[in-house]
Amino acid sequence: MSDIQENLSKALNRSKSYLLAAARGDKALFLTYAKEKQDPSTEASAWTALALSTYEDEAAQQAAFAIKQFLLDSQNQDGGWSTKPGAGRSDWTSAPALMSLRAIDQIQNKSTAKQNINFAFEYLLDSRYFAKPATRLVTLVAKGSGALNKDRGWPWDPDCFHWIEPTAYALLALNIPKRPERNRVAIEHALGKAEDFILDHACKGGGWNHGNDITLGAPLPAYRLTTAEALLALQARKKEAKVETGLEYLQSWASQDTSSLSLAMSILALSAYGRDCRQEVQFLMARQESDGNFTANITTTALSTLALAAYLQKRSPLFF
Amino acid sequence: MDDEKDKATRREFLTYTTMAVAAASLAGCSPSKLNRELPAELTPGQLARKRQGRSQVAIVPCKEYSDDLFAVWQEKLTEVKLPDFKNQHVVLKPNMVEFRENTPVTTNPAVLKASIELVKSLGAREITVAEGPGHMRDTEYLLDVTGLGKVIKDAGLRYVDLNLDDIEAVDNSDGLNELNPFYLPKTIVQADAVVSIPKLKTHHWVGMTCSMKNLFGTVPGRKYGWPKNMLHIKGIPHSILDLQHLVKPKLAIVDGIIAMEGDGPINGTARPFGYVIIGEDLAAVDATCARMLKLDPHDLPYIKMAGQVVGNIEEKDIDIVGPAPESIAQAFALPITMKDKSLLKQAAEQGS
Repeated sequence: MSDIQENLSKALNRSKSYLLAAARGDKALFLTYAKEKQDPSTEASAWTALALSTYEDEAAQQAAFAIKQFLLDSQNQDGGWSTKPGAGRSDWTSAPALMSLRAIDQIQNKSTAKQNINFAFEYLLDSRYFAKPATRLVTLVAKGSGALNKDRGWPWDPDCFHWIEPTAYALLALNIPKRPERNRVAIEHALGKAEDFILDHACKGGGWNHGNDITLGAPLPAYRLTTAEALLALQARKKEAKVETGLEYLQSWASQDTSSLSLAMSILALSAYGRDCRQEVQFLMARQESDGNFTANITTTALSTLALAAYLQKRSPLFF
Repeated sequence: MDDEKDKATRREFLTYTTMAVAAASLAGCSPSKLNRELPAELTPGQLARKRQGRSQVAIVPCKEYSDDLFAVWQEKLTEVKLPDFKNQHVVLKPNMVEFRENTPVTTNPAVLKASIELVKSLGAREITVAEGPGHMRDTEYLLDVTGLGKVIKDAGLRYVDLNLDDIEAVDNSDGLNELNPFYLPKTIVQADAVVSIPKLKTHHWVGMTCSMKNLFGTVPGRKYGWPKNMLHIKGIPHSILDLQHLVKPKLAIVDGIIAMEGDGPINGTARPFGYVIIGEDLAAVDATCARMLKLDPHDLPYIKMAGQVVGNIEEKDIDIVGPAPESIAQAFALPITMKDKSLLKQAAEQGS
């Protein structure tokens, strides 16, 4: 084992210990956004469950399974999830929750969540639309399918505009571990539209920001984090020119030690496309604290864990 | 002649700003919510929220950002009534919406540093700096590149990312934006006092962003997203006004030393201005700032209505400490929406 591999293994053991210690609850475990918080976070729980499921030891696997149980228990009646249980209607966190459930089922070779997963697919497909089903039917009859099928992604919150990040998370949920057989036509259609939505909102010069590539006639610059998220979501469109310019934009940040979150997502995105990310890995490893965290944000530590594991193992549940 | 022309184009711009707000509501909503405007009539409960009595606003000339900014303020604030923060937990809320190199998008670190010293001098038991950046999830990066993180660290204070804080449902049954319950971060709900520390900027949707609009950053992204688009869909003016009652800010400290003009709040350009504006009544502070930009506060719908439900916006009800606004007012370049009206519709369709 080389020095870098040994250091990566040690870093991953430390982050596993941190994530295991951060999980709360008895039977069904959940994560908060930070250790000092009290509220369960659907997002932090989903990413942590996925990160822990990549370890082979029993403690990590059991914890991943127990967090999965929390996600199953907290699914809303409409099939989606809220940022924390009971915090109003379903929102963007439905995508990471669904992604995590599907990926863990695959990793643990179990299909214990099939009904919940199918229900979540329906929510995700429905939440792309501004209008309720009855209104959509009227629109379809009055204006034709074109009125319903403009290039679209997903919103953060229902009834709002669509943005790069929630669209990227939804694409991950529908692609990982693989595209579902169920309702294939509708899902393929939604995936194609969402990929087009992201591609259409690429910034001039490459990369993506939160979703406004141009506002009031002025082109706006890309961000590192959102570019990495968009690229991770666009793995099925590897040959697109905008994907290549996005990769070039992301690689232009290589010498900058910006934040654990942007480094982790950059490592995942660059690794998914087979690009060099040694510098990003070094920066990220240097950011780890002695207790295993990469920052106070638990989601970021889970993503950092997934990123370093992907680099070490040359595979990841996030690659498709 | 130029003044007349300027006035005409400003009024034209403001008319289109109002249309743009309505258009923003249009793009993501069902038809029943098209062209949503502020209500013509307010409920007794809404009207009862208005601050009573006269208001005081201090205009403090500050030529540049320096380490001893607080000393400059102290000298000028002797005649100003400031809140008593004795034994209180005070949350300072700067603007850290996004980062653009060499563009004054965010509150300057020197202003945050001086604000910390001011709040300490007013007796605060505990100070927390908190913000929920509007466009970027990468808060760690923003704290670093804006320089605000270093000020917080050097002061030994706690920072809370309001986007990811624990959240609490609060009653907004008499609110204007129809979001009820409204979710707010527990750090904001449980604070004894919140201080709004904005950057003074022009704003392509509402004309100007200042201490009241700055409270958008108290809204949790984990619930409403990045950007907090639901607040646009439900009406930016409506949401600005509701937040004054939900957050209950006790003080505003406006960074107008280097302000932003043109296509603000992100894409504008630096405008050296040279003032910090301080006051307990946020409506009075914002109305005064508008006058300093040669804008009539009555032409900005949210400030006009703030005069009914938040505080004082009329000159006769505001005691100025420092130079008279009309004596120092400068016409800022307004957003490009006033030059090409078609851009408003285009922007609304893009969801910006």
